[in-house]
Amino acid sequence: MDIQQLEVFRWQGEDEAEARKMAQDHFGPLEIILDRTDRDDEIVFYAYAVEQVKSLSNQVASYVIKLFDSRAVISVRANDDYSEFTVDIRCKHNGFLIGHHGATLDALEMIISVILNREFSVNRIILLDINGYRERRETSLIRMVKDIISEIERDHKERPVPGLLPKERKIIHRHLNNHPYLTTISIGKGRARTLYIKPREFDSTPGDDQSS
Amino acid sequence: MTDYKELLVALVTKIVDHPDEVVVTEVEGERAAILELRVHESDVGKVIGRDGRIINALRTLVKAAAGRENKRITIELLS
Repeated sequence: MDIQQLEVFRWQGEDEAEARKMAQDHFGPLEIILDRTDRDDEIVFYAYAVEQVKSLSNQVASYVIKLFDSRAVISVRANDDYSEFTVDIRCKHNGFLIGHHGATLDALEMIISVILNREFSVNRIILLDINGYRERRETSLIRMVKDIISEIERDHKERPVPGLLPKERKIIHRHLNNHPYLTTISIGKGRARTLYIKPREFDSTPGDDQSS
Repeated sequence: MTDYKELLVALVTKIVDHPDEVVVTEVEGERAAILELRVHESDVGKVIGRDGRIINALRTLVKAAAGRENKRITIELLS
């Protein structure tokens, strides 16, 4: 299957308002996304039509997902400033496409994101969800964290939370970011990297950080 | 569902600048079949990705597909 090329309007200059006007004239009534790049002292604006970006995202996601499940139904939505596009997959048997802790879903998200971002001058965040899995997983992780917090509040000892994917560790780091009593830290590399939840009195080990 | 070897070709050809030079050969190993992936020299970095993220994602997807056929698969990127 051939994936259609995205129509791009390119304008060189410093005046963003002028670039937007020219791009809007080019795309007519279509809503546009305007990206600015500043390389080698040369400012260039790139514009795309939102509907065409959604259509391309749908084509790329369909191309990849249908290699796995020909009956999957795909739709695409964007956030308010069009920096994030979410691909929603609806299908009957989602376990296979999600994988262990969402590993297959994350791999699909990575590949779709790489293929799509080849078309843009500025990388966009591409998110992939399947039958609402991401929200369910986040709810379940936060429930698990609440149980761990109760344990720490009883004995004031840190707890490891092993076996999480980078994205899952990020959810917990974010969730406890402003917690008055607890902090989080990830230690180790690769698959052995483990998140710890600990009271703030403990100082972090040098070289380790909150990056997921 | 697409065969795991065709799957790898279908995904890699959309990532690289030289899709015509993507070649996948299946070799039987002792414990698992090996998919030897060859791409144009200038595309090697694109297939590996930062910290190996893209090649690892490809491995996850191909293993998932092969798992459905009860096969064990590894991918080796040859340049």
